[in-house]
Order: sequence, then C-alpha cells, then structure tokens
Amino acid sequence: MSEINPFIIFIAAIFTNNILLSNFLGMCSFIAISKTLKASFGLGCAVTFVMGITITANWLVFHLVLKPLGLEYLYFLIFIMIIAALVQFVEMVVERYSPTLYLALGIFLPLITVNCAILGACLFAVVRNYTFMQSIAYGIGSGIGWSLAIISMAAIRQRLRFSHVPKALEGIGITMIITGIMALAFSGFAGVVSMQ
Amino acid sequence: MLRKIFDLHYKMLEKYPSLRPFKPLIDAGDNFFYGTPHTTKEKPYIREGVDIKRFMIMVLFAVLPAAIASVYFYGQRAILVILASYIIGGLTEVIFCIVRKEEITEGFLITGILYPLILPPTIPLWMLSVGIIFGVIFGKEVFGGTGKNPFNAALVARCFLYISFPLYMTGGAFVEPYPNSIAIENNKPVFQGLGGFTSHRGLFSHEIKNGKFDAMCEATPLAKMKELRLKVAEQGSTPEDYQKYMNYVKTSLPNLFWGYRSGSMGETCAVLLILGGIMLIAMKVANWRTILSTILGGAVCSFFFYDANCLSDKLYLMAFTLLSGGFLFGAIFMTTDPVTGPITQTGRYFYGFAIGCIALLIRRFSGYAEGIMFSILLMNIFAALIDEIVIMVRYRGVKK
Repeated sequence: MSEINPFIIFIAAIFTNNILLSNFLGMCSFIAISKTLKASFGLGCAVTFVMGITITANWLVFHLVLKPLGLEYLYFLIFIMIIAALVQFVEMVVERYSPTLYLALGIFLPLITVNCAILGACLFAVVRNYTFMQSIAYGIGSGIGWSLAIISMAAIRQRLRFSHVPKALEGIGITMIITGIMALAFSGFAGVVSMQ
Repeated sequence: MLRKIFDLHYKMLEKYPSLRPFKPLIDAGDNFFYGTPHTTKEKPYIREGVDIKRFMIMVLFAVLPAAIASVYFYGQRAILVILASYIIGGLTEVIFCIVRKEEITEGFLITGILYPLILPPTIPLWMLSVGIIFGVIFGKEVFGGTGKNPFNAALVARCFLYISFPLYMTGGAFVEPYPNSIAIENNKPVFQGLGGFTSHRGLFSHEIKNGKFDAMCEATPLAKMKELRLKVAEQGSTPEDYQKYMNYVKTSLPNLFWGYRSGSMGETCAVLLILGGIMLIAMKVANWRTILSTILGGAVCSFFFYDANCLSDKLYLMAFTLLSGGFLFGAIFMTTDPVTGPITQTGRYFYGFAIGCIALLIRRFSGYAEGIMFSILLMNIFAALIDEIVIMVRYRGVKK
C-alpha cells in the first residue's frame, strides 16, 4: 500500500478512480451548480482547495492525535468538525475577495461542509492507509478530478440550452443521464493505474 | 408515381385529423426521396454549411463499402444485423418522434449503420436491439434528437453493451472472416470467389460451446498482440519471445490492410475505410483536421508506449497500431461527427489528438484490448469544454 508513488495516486484520483464518476460522491452540488461554467469553475476550485487542506489536517489529526490516544472510533466526528471549520474559513475568504462568486455559489459554499466527496476522500485516505504524501496527492487529485467532471458537465449543459429536452427530464433528469454516460466513458480507464 | 403516393398521404392527413400523429413518418419518406422545399431547421446547419440531408447521405455512401465488405467477410448474417439495427432503432426513433411531435431527420440513417459495424459479427439480435434502443433513447432522443446530442449515439449503445455483456463483446465473440483459412496460413490476402456473400453461417444464432461461440472463434489481432507483448514484458522472457512478437506484428500487416482478420464487422478492411475517409474529406463532409490529428495522436503515442529494439520495429508497431482494431473506423466515421465534436477549428486539433492518445493509453495500460470507443466517448464529454476554452482564449479582449 505504501509503495505506490504519490504521483501515480494523483493521476489515478483524477482519471481512473474519479471520486465523482466512479464512487458517485459529491453528486448534490455537482448537479445543482453545474449550470454555468463560471460558477462550476469557482466551486471546483473551492472543493479542490478544501479537499487538499482537510485531507492534510485530518491525516495529521488521525495519526498524531487520535491514534496515540486510542480514539480512532471518533474519527467521523472529528473529521466533520475539521471540515466545517475549514469551509467556514474558505467562505470568509471568498466573500471578501470575490462577492460575485460568493453570490453565484450561494448556499452551496457552506454545503461543502457536508459534501460527501470531501468526507469520503478523507475516509478513503485513512482506510487505505495512505502515507502523508500519498494523502495529499489523493486529496488534491480527487479535487481536480471532481472539478474536471463538474466543469465539463457545465460546458455540456450550456450547450444543451439549445436542445429540446423532454419536459420531464429538464434540469436534474438530463443531468443524471449525462452523468451516467460520463461514468460509462470513464470506466474505460479502469485498470490503467491502480491506487490501492 | 412516388410523388402521387406522398401527395395522397398528405391529402388523407388533411381529411382525417386522427392520422395526424403519423405526419412525421410521411414527411420523412417524402424528404428522403424528394428535395424538401424548406431550408433545414435542424443542426448542424451553421457548423458545416451543408444541408443535413446531403450531409448524411454522403456519410452513408462513404460507409457503404465497409458495410458491403462486412457481408463479404462475415456472411449474410451481416445483412441481417444491419437490417435489425435499422428496423429496431428506426422504430424507436419513429415512436419517439410521433410522441414528441418532432420531425424525423436523416440522422438515424447514419447511427443505424455505424452501430452494427462496430459490433462483433456474432452479436445476438436481441442484444443488438437492446443496445440500439438504449443508444437512440438515452444517447440521442432525450437530448432532443439529431443534431443536439452531446454523445455519439452509436458509441453510447456499444459502450452500454460492452459493460453489460462483456462475454458477447470481447474475446470469444470475434470469429474469423470468410475466405481466410488459406489467407491466414500463408499470411497473404487471397481473394477467393464470393466470400461470405453466399454463406449463411450462423444466420440467426451462434451457438455457445464451452463458453466460446463456435469452432471458428478467433482472437482479434489486438488481443493476440497484447498477449505476445505481455509475454515479452514478463521476467525471464527470451529473445525468441520478442522475435515471435515482432514476427506477428510484421506478418499481420497485409491482413490488417486488406481486411482478413477477426474484428468488429465494419472495421476490418482498412483500404475501404481509407477510401471512405478520402471521399468524406473531398466532399468536405468530414473535417480533415480531426482525422489527421487523431491519427497523429495515435502514431505519436504508439511510438512512446510500445517498446521495441530498433526503429524499424517501432515503425512496424506504429503501422500495426493504426491499422488494427477500430482505430481507423473511429477516426474516420466517429470523431468527425459534427455534432458531438468541437465546433472550433483549433479545438478540433486538440480533440483529435487527445482521442488518439487516450485510445493508445487504454490499449496499452488497461485491461481492455481496444480503447478507441472509450476515448471518443471521453472526448465527447470534453468537446464542449474545449470549445469554451478556445473561444475564451481567442476572444479574450473582445468581450470586455
């Protein structure tokens, strides 16, 4: 487990084990925000940033605090708290420096707190016994993979504005179908590089 | 005569309003045989400057030689498979159009023939039908029909089958082509008589024996090459292994070129595919940028991904890569789809190059023997994004 090069994990997290398209984590904000390129790019950056930082912090807390104290069973609780604190921090930064982006993201910025992709990535890193460097690579890779998925989805949806989608499928329905086809295509990468 | 029949239909339509739902059907028949008085209302009119009907018919003509070759190599069953695809897929499309009150366009003429040509010849007919129904509905119709689909419907259908029924889509599903036992033994293409035109081997079903389809089952050149390459890559491999590997690559080149090899129905005969491609480019239906950059991407990647002892071996490997599997078929008929690809010229270079690279990446490093299907579908996802980026870079100063 510990022999895999962090760089390979980074690539694998983007393509072969894309956290959105192979684990289906982080779907809620993926579907809600992917309407315009700009907002999805902003959210993608925010998620990548939060993921990279939280996975580092969580790894440190898990291995330096929880493990020596024998409190591993608390890790769900602790992880969530760390994520919440960091998201609060990101929110303040975004509000200060880019009010337009802050308005575009709306409720979904605080909702990164409960974005399952972020907690999922932190937990995967612990379950798979990644080393410190591997965890960071995995976190940033997953964030970039997630951003890649949401940005390309936003581009497709922008193009779809001119399409005549059945009424019942407008919005979320068609997005789910596109996501399914995207996942079909991404399954082609299966086995190119392994991360476990 | 035909004109009268259609006029009669139109009159009946006016007389009996209850027949109204079938108007799209009559319209389609009318438009197919006669020019339409209307200008086109469907995409891709801006993108290519060719009326959609002419456009589709040209592609159909270009792919026809490959379709006829598939009958030559795989027997009358190929006709049956193509017919089934047209009938089932066409019905799905017609029902959808009637329910949604849309016009039936010529788009399905292309999807309906490209789809069977990328399937193994032993594909059970029910499976083919499931695939094309899925492809037409979820690959095309839910997005609003021809010209609006972000993904290539034929590839969506094939990918769906590939994931759902891998046994029928890989390895044992490929049979050796017809006039071949002599050809493959001598490693020389021999044209013999009518080939598969007179044969109805396994017309309605292929029996499965011992997990394989029948005695004539034959691994595709790509699968064989992969096996030999893995042997060379193993520890303790001898120079003989390498010799065997290179020998196979060299001797199979003429077979790949003339089409004597197992594979999906339409992708075997490289010569006819190239002719079709030249025709498409000459008619300005397909964009040469995409085709060229796809082939370039494949060639460059094969140079880096496949190890060989000397340069000439590398060149042989490169030729093998480009001629084998569905690479040419994909590059010529799938990447050039004007709807699912990027619309900017610069974007097309990137798009094609990435398709070539990813196809080779999947072939070389993943468990799958062939990667062109996945790579085109993957780049369909990113096509819209590529356009956005190109436009953003090009018009950076203009918007503000």
